[in-house]
Amino acid sequence: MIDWLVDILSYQVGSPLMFNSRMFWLLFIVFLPFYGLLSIRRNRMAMIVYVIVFSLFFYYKASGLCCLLLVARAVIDYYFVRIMDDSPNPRLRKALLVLSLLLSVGTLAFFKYTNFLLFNLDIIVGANFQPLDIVLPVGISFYTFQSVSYVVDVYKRRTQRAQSLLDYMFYLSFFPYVAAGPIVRASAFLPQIRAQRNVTETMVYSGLWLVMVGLVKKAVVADYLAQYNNLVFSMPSGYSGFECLMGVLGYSIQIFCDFSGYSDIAIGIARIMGFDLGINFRSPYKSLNMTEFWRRWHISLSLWLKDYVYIPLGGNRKGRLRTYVNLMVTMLIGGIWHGAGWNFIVWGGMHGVGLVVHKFCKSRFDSVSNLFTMCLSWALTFSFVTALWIFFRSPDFAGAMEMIGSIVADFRAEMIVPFLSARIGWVNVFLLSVIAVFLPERLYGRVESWFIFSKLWVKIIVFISVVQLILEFSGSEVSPFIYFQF
Amino acid sequence: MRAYIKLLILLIVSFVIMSALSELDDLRVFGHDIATMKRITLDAGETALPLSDTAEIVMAPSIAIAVEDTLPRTILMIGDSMIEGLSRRMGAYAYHNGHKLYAVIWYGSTTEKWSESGRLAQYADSLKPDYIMICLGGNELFIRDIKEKRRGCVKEIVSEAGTIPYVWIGPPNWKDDTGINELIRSEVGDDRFFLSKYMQFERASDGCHPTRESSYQWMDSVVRWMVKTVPHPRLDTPPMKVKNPYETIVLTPDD
Repeated sequence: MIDWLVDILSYQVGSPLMFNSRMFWLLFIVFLPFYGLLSIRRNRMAMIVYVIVFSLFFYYKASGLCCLLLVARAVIDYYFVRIMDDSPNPRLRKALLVLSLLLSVGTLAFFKYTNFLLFNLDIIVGANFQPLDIVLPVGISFYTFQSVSYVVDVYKRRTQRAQSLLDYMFYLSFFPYVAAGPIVRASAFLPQIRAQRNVTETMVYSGLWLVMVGLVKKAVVADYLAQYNNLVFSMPSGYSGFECLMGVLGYSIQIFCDFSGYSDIAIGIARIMGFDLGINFRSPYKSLNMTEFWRRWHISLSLWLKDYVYIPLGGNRKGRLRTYVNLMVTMLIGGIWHGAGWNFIVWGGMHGVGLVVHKFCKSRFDSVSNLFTMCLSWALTFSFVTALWIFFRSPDFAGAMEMIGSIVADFRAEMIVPFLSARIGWVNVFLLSVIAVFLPERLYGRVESWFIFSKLWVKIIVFISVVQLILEFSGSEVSPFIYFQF
Repeated sequence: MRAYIKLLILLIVSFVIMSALSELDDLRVFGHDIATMKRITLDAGETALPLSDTAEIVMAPSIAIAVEDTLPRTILMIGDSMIEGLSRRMGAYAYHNGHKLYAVIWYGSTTEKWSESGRLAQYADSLKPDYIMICLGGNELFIRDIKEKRRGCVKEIVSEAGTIPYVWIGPPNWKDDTGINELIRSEVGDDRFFLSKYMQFERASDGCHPTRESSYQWMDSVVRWMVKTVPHPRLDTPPMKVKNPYETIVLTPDD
């Protein structure tokens, strides 16, 4: 029994507490009643400490002692910002801002890009630098962006600073989003910590609904489709172009269900606790152009990039050419934020090209809008986004080119019938997912409302059915969320 | 708080129902076996592996990428006399999972002979395998300056495999080697190399080759490692005694 408890409480490499694991939900069932009690007693300080302890434990299970980095980040940010906010000296304020940004972005750069830089230096100067033994702490990319937004917003007087170190620690370490987002702004979240919280049944069941939707997306759709997709991406040369194409299309659905599923669960858990994290995905594959795609996909990241990179660079205020350059720079940063590799740089850069092309064509083609052009726009946008997932998913740039080469030069249409008959289960899940992705959003809203206002026994039946569905589809091991690696 | 109480009732009732269903054996709906929750055991931290699995522990990479190809495939197994024992069991895997296995046993062969002959490329060209398994190095355990002498040979063999996925099964050392394992491992990478060096074998009368039973266990260990670690064709475990037709090409040391 003691060994078992130690096992649960200690950090184990590669075994984070994930939202799709039973252990997380057992702990959450224990966590929730005490949270409810502390919330209702209006004992805010105790509630804040309680949530911070649980959040740090959650993060410790994912990153081990790297959780100390998160604590250090919170302490440094808090005191830097406090001095900066109190100071009437603009130069000191600016110096503290720059120092804080250098520290947070520098830490991220060290963990994420050191080996990438060494590898490329090796190639460029012919040196023989050995890669360092660096482990990327889970979620560092996400909480660094939150930290940057907080420091910049307080500097620019766009938001008030955190009332206490505990408030800021709560904001930075909140367990629903600390590992893989969404990237929540301090201006939206800090006021919620001390606000009078009246968690209604509607909020709780709406949160539970989101959690169920997220789990189905992840454990049923994404993990099932991943079985074939992983196979194709691991050795594209072993498959015909048609099989590779199906793997790419499957990955397009897989990454949407995986990441939006994670976001749904995070937002749902926060909603159950009475916090509003906003939305992170809004049917992105219905987009008719690249600009619209980034307004619908990973909304918290695209808004962050817009507010803290694109607009400070000048946005669209400095002429057309400069707008294009700003877009490219922003998307390249977005690409390299996802990972240290040329494939991510190409992925981000090509998205930048897509945005530039749309901006360039927008004024010329806006007047020509009918059903045909809309269908054409959608097809072009979806194809472009899906093709770029090849760079995102492939282990390296060469792997991406191998995949593209296989699709283009070795299509082999005769493989279609054997593929459909051999992988009928995968094809069915894929087609159902595609239909689900393109269903009207209001339909989901109606089903959610029905669930929220249904009787308790109906909710129990729905919940058990969802859990059973997950059991039927899930493998023997819990698969990590794709965005955990960023 | 009322909302949380209702939510907890929902979660706990659901959990109890699911747990109760999990206790029922052979739960079926319309002939379909219903999946059940696994019990959380208290001895989660304890593991007991057979000795033959020690190599898997030594070789397990930090990030396991185990993907399974479920379609029937053509597998080519090449190497020295060790293939004789390995291929019998691999034949059972192939037959059981619907694959076609070609085993090329070149007695007394080395990485040098294979690289100079270009035979792997020839077999890859004529047999069109989807997957290659190599077992070489057993005849080069005690060569001095092995890294200088054989690095090019290993590189050549790997290049002859081309884009076909492959794994390299390391030799079953009966004495410590002069570096062949380290050489192959550095050339093909941890994710393609199965280190057999530290496994315990029951040896045949020559003191070198594993017995048939030991070779079977060796092959089973390789397959378990492949399933956990590398992209692989479907490799469900076959029964020990099964008729396993597969094609064998035998080459003598003088070929």
